[in-house]
Amino acid sequence: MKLLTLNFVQCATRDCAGRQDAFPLAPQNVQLAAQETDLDPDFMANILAKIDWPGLETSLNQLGRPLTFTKEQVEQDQNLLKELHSILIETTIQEGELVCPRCSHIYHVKDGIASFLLPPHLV
Amino acid sequence: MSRPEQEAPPEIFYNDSEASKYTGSSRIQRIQAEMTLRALDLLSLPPSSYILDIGCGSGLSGEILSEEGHYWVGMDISPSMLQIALERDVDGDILLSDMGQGVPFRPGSFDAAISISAIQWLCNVDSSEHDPKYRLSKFFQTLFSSLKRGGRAVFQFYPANDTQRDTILHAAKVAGFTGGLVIDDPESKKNKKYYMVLVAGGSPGDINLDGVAIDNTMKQKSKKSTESRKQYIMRKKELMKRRGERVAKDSKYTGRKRRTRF
Repeated sequence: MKLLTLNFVQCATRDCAGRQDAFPLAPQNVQLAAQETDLDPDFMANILAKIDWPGLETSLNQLGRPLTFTKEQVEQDQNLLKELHSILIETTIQEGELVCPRCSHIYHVKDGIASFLLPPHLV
Repeated sequence: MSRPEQEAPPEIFYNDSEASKYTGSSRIQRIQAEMTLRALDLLSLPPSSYILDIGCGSGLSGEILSEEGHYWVGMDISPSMLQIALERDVDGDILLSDMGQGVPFRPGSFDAAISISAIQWLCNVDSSEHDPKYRLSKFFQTLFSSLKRGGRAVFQFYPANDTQRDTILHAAKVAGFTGGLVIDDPESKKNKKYYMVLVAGGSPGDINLDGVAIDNTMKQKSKKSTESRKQYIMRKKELMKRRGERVAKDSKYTGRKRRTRF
């Protein structure tokens, strides 16, 4: 699961659905991997408007890789865009857990696939 | 042709052997590619969009999305299908998720959503907790919020019958989507394809009031003001006659005012 996707998923349980404080899911005991892909400046520009920046900062702090630049800096500097690309799209979570900050429900990640299947009582 | 929906729940039907059979079949690959291209055609997206693929399976449709230069996130309920997607090394990100439990993304995430041959599965009742109506409404509500404003969604699906088709359309409307059904090849029984094209809360534009006459006569005037004095007297006399009372004969003088000269 790419870190980009982590910036978009939120807790899906009945109590948390649609609530702002159920975001971002906190990664725990994770193994990260890097996979090189080509930079697509158009897509980065598109996605930059969609990213929840405070959420991204929180997630990266939890991963122990704090961001060294701000959103405004990225908008002006092409090199930083490349760095953001490597963080968001080239870095993937291979194994680990994602914990909801609100209800502490744990979503497991295996082989890079996060499982969002819920037990019936949480739907 | 049998319907896989009637055989078993999706996560069980698409087991390892069925998933590899499905993905390996060149006929299915071709049909899936055709349908994905048609759906993209209907979406008419700018390049480099961020798309949600619902029921992505082994990534057959996602491959086409990548080829067209889009980025996608796929969700599917069958682990075997996702396993094959991993082996095929697809570009998109994949999640194991049941669409009937809602789309787990924050509001405004995606530019568009696409779904090829998947949402008819929502009409299944595979366990005692399943209520198709609830699952459909949960799915469309969460999808609506996860799309950006004016974002589009195209679903190719195989409804079992007209009732099922209408149920799905209705659920989408109730969730706030506008749009409708595009039917390709409607004459052919085998190649007939349903595409549901939905828009999430696009701007409705101004209401066109050109050439519209506003009808003022709607407001009904009271009986009293439209009725003349003579009409009133005739009406009352008629009523009395019917009740058997003795009434003066009608003449041209009925209801006339008596002059002072008389």
